[in-house]
Parts: sequence; C-alpha cells; structure tokens
Amino acid sequence: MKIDISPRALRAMKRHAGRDYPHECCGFLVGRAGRGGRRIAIEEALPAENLNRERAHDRYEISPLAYLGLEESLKGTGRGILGYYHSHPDHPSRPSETDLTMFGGWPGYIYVIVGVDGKTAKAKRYTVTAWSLEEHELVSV
Amino acid sequence: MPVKIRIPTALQKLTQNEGEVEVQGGDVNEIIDGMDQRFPGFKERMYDDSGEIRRFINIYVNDEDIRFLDGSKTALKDGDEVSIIPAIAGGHGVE
Repeated sequence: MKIDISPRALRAMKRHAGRDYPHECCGFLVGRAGRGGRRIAIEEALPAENLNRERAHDRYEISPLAYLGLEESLKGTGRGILGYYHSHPDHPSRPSETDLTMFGGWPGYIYVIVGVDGKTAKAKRYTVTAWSLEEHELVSV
Repeated sequence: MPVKIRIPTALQKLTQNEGEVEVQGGDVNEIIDGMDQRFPGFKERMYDDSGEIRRFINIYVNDEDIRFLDGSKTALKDGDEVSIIPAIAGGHGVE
C-alpha cells in the first residue's frame, strides 16, 4: 500500500496536536483511495472534538454523528473519510493496546498517530506514523 | 417496507462499493439479514459471537442511536434511514 499525506494535512495534524497538548487530539483523514485501495492520498486532516473529557490526557473518542455529518458533506466530491488521526502526548507514535483493539475492528481505514514530545526540549517535537490493518496485522505505511 | 442503509467506507468492500443500499425489513435485525442475503458475509461483520451488535459498530436510525431505542429490535418504517457508523476511540492510556 502506498500512502501520501499532503503537507497541508501534516501541518494541520501537528498544529492540532500541539494546541491540545497535554491532551490527546483527534480528527478525520479525508482524501481519495485508488487502485483498489492500494494507493491512499490523504488531502486533509479535519479536527474533531474529543468526547472523552474525563481522560483526555490519554484517551480520545469521536462522535458518530460527527462522522455522519462529515460523510454527508463529502457526498459527490469524490473524496471520503479514509481514517482517523489522534495524538499521543509524551508517548511514542505507535498504537497502544487500546488502539490495536479499536483498529482491529475496522480494517480498511488508515490511522495516523502524532507523538508529541513536550518535555525533552523547549519546543515540542513531533513524530508521525500511519498504520493500516493488512492481513490481520497492523503495519506502518 | 424499503429502508435506506448508509454503509461506511470501511464496509463498502462488502457491498460492492455501494455506499447506500435499499433493503426490506421491519427492524434492524431483519435489514441486516437482508443485507447478508444480498452481500454474503455482511452479517458476520455486524454481530459478535453472542449474537449482539459488535461494540465497535454504532447503528443509528434517523440520527438516533439504537442503543437508546430498542437495540437491534428497533422497528423500522418505510423511508427510515439506517446509518452504520464505526466507533472511533482509542488512546495511549491503559485500562
């Protein structure tokens, strides 16, 4: 699988992750999929509200109605919801056990994790990885 | 009574890339059966081993979550719209 993340989407995710630090941020990945889903072009990263306010420091949850509203707005545009992004404040940008359980329920989506290191240096540092469930295993793409 | 089903992108591989399908059925269970007849394997993605709707899946009838209605026995009427929406949650925290 080949995945392209536009510079604009990358900047948006990092900006969102930095703004919401030390809490987790979350949002949608929007773009186009081609070649039977083997080529993914993420054009936009759209922020969503994190519904998990009690544990926003290490959990996120996106409203199903937000999904529905966005999907409705994308009708006829040739673009769709390709997956989701969320951040890991002061934690590696690798799926946690919780993430793996959730990702495993939805193969076919792309998951981007933005690791935010806000403690090592004065300026925040970001690492970004993208994951997809292929052949029952999560792989970095 | 035909009901419109909205299918999320991740499940459209099961529905020959159709994002909206019309199915006959009197309640949510029946329309899932109808979807499975038309698209074999659909039902298995929707229910867990105990016969309940998988917890990763939200089903809305006209913007109402069926968990707050009658679950998978929620009655449907002509023109209702059923949306299957993935649950989207996670995070780096442990239980």
